[in-house]
Order: sequence, then C-alpha cells, then structure tokens
Amino acid sequence: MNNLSESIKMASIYTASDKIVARMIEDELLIVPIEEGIADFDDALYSLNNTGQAIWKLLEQKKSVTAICMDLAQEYDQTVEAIEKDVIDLLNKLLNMGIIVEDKSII
Amino acid sequence: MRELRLSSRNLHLLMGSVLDHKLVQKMRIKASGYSMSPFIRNGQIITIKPIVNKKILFGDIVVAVIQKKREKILVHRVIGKKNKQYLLKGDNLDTDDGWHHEKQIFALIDLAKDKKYRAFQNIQNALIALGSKTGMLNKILLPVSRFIWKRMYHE
Repeated sequence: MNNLSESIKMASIYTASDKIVARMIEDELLIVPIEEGIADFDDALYSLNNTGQAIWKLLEQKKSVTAICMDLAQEYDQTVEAIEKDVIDLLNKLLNMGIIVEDKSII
Repeated sequence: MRELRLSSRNLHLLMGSVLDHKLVQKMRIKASGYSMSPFIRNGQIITIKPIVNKKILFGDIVVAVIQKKREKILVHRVIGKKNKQYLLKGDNLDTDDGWHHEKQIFALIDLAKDKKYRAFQNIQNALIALGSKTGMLNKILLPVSRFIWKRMYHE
C-alpha cells in the first residue's frame, strides 16, 4: 500500500489507518487493506497472532511505542529490551503496509 | 502476521464488515467451484459490489449466505423473483438452490469490465437466467456454443 520505507518513532502514537478494515473473528484479528475503494481478499488478507493482537489493543488505547513496550514487558514478565525488537518489527511492517499511520493529532 | 483462508461463516462476517466501510466500493475475491462455469470459473478473481437500494435484478449474480448443515456462501444467479424472495441457481447445475429472502443476499458480482457495458451485461444476465431456469442453457445453448467454438477455432 505504501512504497516509502518508513521507520516508527518510539515517542510517537500510531493508529489504525482509515484505509483498512480490522475485525476480530473467532480469536483472530483480521485485517483487510482498502486500496482505491477496493478491498482485495485475494491479494491481501492478514491475521495478527496473539502478540500482534496485544500490540493492536494497546495501539487502540492511543499509547506511544515506548508505552506499548513497557506495558508488554510488564504483562509478559520480560525486559523492555527483549520486547522492543518484536514490537518495532511488527509496527514497521504495519506502517510500511499502510495498515497503521502516525497519529499526529495527539502531541 | 500471515495470510490466511477463511471458513464460509468467517468470510461472511468479514465481508459484511468490509462492505459497511465507507471507503469500500468493491471487493475482489477468488471464486472456487464450478457451479457457475463457464461464466465464473474456478479460481477466477471476481469483483463484488454492495447492493444499492436493495436493487437486485433478474439475472444478477449474487453473493448469498445459506444455512444447510453449516453456513455456506453461494455465488449464484437470480432466476426468479417474488416479493422479497429470490430463486437462485448455479448456471452449471441442474437444480436450483430454492427461494431465499433478500436478507440472505448481501452483495452482487460485477462482471462488466467497463461501465458502458453494464446495460448490455444486464440484458445478457437476464437471457442467461432465462436459459438457466428453463434448463436450456446446460442442455442446448452451452453445448452448441462449445461445438461452434471448437469448429471455428480448433479445426
């Protein structure tokens, strides 16, 4: 969806793009990107695993990437450093696919 | 993150959410099965659009959800219309699927590649539906057209 390679910023807050549909179905979070008014079920239909879903829930709570890492570290009883790489990897993927966008309305 | 295949029930739920989204005009999905052959082939990517103002025409190919032993999504043609009930049938099948309430039909298939062909598509759909309803499509029209096609292009 997005050709530019972007990297997430730790202090920033990210939110679901309005160009996707995300729906929880039978314990799976399914994401369908919408491009030029077309939702392509054949090319791009994604599901987030449990960790991905935990990150998604925290994104919905408008938490910064740093706050998400801290919350997950606490929840999974890990160090922030151990959690950070997975969170950043997933968010970078989601950002570059246009599934999430930086929320600049919150400073 | 992974790509996945969905059960009929989950596909129905997801399609409902997608069609409700303000930005969605169409969906693309891979058809599976041979019940609508040759008009929709197994593996063909089909375009699905929402139903506007409950306007479903005789001959339209629709996406409907039916309940048999489990929920099933059908992409079949409307070959009959009575009040809010629609008779559906796969073009390549001998028997119809029975009457279904309009609430069970949640989208239309858009086969017209260009807007200017849409009116022509409606006439063509109605003729195919008539052929499908009378059984002439499978028994006479398609075999004859296949025969002519082979004679013209393969001999």
